[in-house]
Amino acid sequence: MKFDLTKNIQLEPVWQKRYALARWLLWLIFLLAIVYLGLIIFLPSENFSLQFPGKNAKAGKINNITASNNPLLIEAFSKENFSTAKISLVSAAPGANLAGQAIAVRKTYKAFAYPTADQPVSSPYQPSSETPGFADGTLLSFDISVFAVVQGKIMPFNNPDTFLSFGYDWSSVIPATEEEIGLYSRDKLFTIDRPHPDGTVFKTIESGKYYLVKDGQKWPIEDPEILKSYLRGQPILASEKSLEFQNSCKLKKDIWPLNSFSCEISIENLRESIGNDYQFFIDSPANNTLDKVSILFSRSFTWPNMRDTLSDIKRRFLINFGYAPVQ
Amino acid sequence: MLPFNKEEKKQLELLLYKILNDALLLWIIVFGGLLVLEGLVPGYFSAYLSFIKMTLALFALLALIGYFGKRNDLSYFFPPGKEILKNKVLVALLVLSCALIINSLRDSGWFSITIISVGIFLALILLYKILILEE
Repeated sequence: MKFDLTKNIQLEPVWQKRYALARWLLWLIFLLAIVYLGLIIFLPSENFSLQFPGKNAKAGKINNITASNNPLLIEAFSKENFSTAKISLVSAAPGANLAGQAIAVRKTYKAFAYPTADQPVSSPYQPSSETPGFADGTLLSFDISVFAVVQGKIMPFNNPDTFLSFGYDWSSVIPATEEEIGLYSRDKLFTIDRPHPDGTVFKTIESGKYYLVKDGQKWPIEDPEILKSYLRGQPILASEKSLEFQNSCKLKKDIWPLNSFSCEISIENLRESIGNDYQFFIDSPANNTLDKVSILFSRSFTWPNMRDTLSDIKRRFLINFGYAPVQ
Repeated sequence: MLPFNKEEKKQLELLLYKILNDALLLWIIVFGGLLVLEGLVPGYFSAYLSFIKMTLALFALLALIGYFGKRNDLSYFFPPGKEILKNKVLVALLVLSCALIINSLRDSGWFSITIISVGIFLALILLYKILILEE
């Protein structure tokens, strides 16, 4: 090896051989480290974990993962596509046996998974005379920020990727003046784990049906005039198929930690599913209590995954040097 | 503790000193490469790697090199005067630094670019005077 910063330091012959061996080992370690770094960077995984505050599984939220107890639903929010999801549950009750229980997963939008209302929307949108300004669900821009109008307040999107992960289109954003923005008080950031706000209109890609999000339900819109009154810009495309639980696995007991159960689900086919909310349903008896849940999303070394990563890098490179818009 | 006599212990420390220098060179190459990549695709690589930890590791390497160097009365040999500018590693680091600085100033305003450039230029002149002109 020609690069030697310490040529002037000569070792005894035996130690020189040891140095040569050590140098080869050093190069091998660096090479392996570079391969490992490459795998981390080009096939990144995402880890979500949630520690339940009490003995009973309550609604909790940490790091874009939420859980509710009726039924046991765990949601992990990510805009990325993955190959597998390994879900691990730690039971709080010693001796509790979760082995054999099924976990099913789907990828959809949180608001699109709302229950469908019994009746369609019967009347067109009426602006409120008490609260001036834009309707809920409207997207506004001011300066370099984009906001969503939610319950009379504005919530800024934390980054463009979050905006795009909700299926929004830049053409739906309405430029607002300082006075118009000043009508609203600012709320927290609009992050990826929030549902689409009331006033959002979904359109299904399979049947072309429209739905309005309102009060925790999806309301079908059948009248074109009513649709026109609620639609601001482009509807959010959603998939009826995304509501189906296509993939599942059964929990097995882990050797360690104690009371830990896990299984791995292939989610490669969910790549085609529209949404940013991975919903895991656990068929669990009501008496089971959970201490902790964690989900590890991984990518396999496949061409679609590499293509996604390289495409993302290329897009960011072009955006950085001004050769592509932010989308 | 391994049963080395005094001479073997010295040879071991010299071996460690040489290996640490090789590790330093590899670390600078990898770290420099990652900085360039981060400059081209900002935010992508730093999302998975901690540059702060890598910098701290670099300082730790330098500290160990300094420690073993001091124990064995070893120091870097700086060629006198302008001879140092013929060092390939130094030239490569200077070119890399300039490229990273220029890339980071790309989106800055003219005022910021002017102030930073003048500051860097003055610092380089001062370093040249201290390290190269004065022996």
